[in-house]
Amino acid sequence: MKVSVGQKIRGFLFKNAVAILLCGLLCFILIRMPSFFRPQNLVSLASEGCSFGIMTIGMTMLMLNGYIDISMGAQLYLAGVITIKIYQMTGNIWVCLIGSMAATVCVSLCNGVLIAKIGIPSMIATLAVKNVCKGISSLMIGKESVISMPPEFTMLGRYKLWGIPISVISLGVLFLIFIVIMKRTRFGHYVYAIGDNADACQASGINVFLTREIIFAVSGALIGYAGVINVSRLGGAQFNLGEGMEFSCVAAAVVGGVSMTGGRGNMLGAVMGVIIIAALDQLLRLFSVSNYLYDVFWGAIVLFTVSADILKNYEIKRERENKKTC
Amino acid sequence: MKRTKKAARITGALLLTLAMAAQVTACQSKGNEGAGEAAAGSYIAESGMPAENPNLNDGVNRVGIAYSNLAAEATQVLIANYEEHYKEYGIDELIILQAENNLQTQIEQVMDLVNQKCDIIIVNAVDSDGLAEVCDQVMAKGIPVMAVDRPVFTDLYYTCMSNNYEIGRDVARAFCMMSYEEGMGDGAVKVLKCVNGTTSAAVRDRLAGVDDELALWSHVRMVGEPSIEFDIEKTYNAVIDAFTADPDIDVVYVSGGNYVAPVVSALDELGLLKPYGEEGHVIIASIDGTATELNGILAGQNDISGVQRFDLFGSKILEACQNYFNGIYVDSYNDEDLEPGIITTPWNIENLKAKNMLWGIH
Repeated sequence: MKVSVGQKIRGFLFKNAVAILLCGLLCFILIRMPSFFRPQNLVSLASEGCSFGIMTIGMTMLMLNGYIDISMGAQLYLAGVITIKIYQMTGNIWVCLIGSMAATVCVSLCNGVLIAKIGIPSMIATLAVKNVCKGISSLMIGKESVISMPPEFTMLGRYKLWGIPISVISLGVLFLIFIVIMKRTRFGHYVYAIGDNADACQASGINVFLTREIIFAVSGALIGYAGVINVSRLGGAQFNLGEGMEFSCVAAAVVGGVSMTGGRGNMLGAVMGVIIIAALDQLLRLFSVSNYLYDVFWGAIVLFTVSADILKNYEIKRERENKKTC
Repeated sequence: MKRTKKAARITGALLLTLAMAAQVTACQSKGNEGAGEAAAGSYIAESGMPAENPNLNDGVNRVGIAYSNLAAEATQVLIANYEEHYKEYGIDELIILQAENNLQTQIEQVMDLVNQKCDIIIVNAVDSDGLAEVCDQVMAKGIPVMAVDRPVFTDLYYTCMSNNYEIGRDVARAFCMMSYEEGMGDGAVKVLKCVNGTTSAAVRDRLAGVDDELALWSHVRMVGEPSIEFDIEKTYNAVIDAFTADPDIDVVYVSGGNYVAPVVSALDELGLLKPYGEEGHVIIASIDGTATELNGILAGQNDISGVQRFDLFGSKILEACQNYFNGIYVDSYNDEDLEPGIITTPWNIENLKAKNMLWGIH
C-alpha cells in the first residue's frame, strides 16, 4: 500500500516527537541562555537531578517490563526519614545507607509480589503502597515538618572529587553500570524479553517472577540510595519529601524513548531523558515561572510524553502492517 | 371526569409550590432574625457584655483549638504550652484538632468544636480569608473565637500574633546594617529574597515589611525572588541556581526557619559558606526563631533570625480564656496583641539565651 506524503510526515512527527522537543529546547537554551552550558551550571544541574536520575534507572527497568511504580516518591520520603532516624541513633552515615536501602528493597519486593505474583495492576498496587509508605514516614517524622541535620551528615551529598560532587559521580557510574547490564548481560536481555512477551519467556524456561522480583529489588535499592543522597544534600528531610517525583521519572524515561507498554527503550535514552527533564526544571526556575504555571507545565509535559509514546507505538504498528500488506 | 382530575393535579402542584416557597421564606426570615438577634448581642463593642454563649453554663470550661497543622516547631511550642498550663487557667477540658493545612477540614473542625460544646474556640487559620465566614457564624452563636499566630480577616473576640510586618522590617534593617558594616558589595549589596507561599497572611506581611525597609536603603538591590512554596528542595535548588548565575549575591533572606538548612547546604555545596568577616561571606537572614536557625547562628552558619515570641502566645491566649470564664471581657471585639519579634544575631544570642527569651533553644 502506497504511503502518502502527509502520512509520512505524520509518521515522522509521531516517532520523533521527543527528539523534536529536545532540538527545540536546545535551540531555546542556546538563544536565551548561553550561560546554561557553563561547566559550573552543568555540575549544579547534575547535582540537582541526582536523586531523580538514580530513581529513573529503576523506573526505566520497570517500564521496560510494562510496569509503573507510583510509590517511588513515597519510598524516597521513607528512605529519607529512616536515614535521619538511624543517623540520630548511630551517627554513622553508612549504617543509614544500609538501613535505608534495606527498607526500600523490602517495600519494592512487596510491590513485586503484589504485581508480578498476585497480578494486581501496577498502578493500583503501587498507589496503595504509596499511601502506606507516606503514612509510615509521617508517623516516623512525628510532629516535625522539617528535620535539619548537622553538617557531618551532609558528607555523602556534598563531598567533592575533582570539583564534582560524589553524588553526581555515583549517578554517572550507576548509569554506566546499568547501560552495560541492560545491553550485555543475560539479565538485561531477559528484562527486554519479558517486557515484550512474558508468556513466551515463561514457556521458554525463563523464571519470569524471579526476574521481575530482581527488577523491583534493584529499583528499591536505587530509591534507598537516592533517599540518602537527597537528605544528605538538602541537610534534612521535610514532610512529604519526594511527592510527585515518580511522574518526573516516568516523563524522563518516556522522553528517553522507553515505551510504557514495555519491551522497548534503553538506558542511554533514559539518561537523555533525565538531562532534558532536569534542564527543563532548571529553566523554569531560572525564568521564575509561577508555581501554579509550573504545575500546569509539568502536567502538560507528562501528557505530551505519554501521548507521544502512544502515537509512536501506533505509528510503528501501522508501518508494520503496511509492510505486511506490501 | 378527566378534566376534574387534571384540574385537581394542577391545583395540587400549585399548592405544593406555594407551600415550599412559604417554607423557604420562613426559614430565611428566621435566619435573618436569628442573625440579627445574635449580631446585636455578640458585638460587645458597645455594650461590653457578650451574647449568651449557649455552651457556657454546662459546668465544664471547655476550650477547642483548631490548628492549621501541628508539624511546625513553633506550633509544638505553643501546643506544649497549652497542654502544660491549661488547668492553671481554669480550663477543664482542652480539645486540639489539626487540619493538615486543609481549609475545608478546618471549617468542619470548627463546627465540630461548636457541636462538642466548646465554650471558646481558638483558631490558627489555614487561610485567613477562608476561615472568616465560619468564624462569623460561630461568633454569631455567642461563642467567642480567638485567633493565634495567624489572623482571620473578620472581627474576632481576640487575636494574638506577631507583628509580622514589623519583624520583616526589623530583619531587613538588620541585614542592611550588617552588610553596610561589613563593607559588602562595593556599594551595591545584592539580596536574594526567597518567597514562601504567599497564601499565608503572615508571609505576605513579612515580605511587605522587608520590601518597605529595603526601599529605604540605597546600597541594597534585590536580584531575585524565587518562589520556594514551603519546600526545602525548592529552596535548595533556588539558591544553587541563583548563585550559579551570580556568585556575588551578598544576602539571602528566607521567610521561615525551616528553610535555613537548605540555604546553608546549598551554599556549602557551592563552596560559598564562609564565616562572618571573611571575604565572600553571605548573610543569611530568616524569621521564626527555630532551633535550627539559632543553633546555626551559634555555629556561625547563618547570621540573623527575627524570633517570634511563640512562647508568649500560649499564656496570653490562656489568660484571655481565663478572663472570659471569670466574666472579664475584652473592651472591644477584634482586640489584638501584636507581639514584636527579637532580632537575634551572633552578638546578642548568648545574652538572649541566658534570659530565656529564645523559645527555640534553652
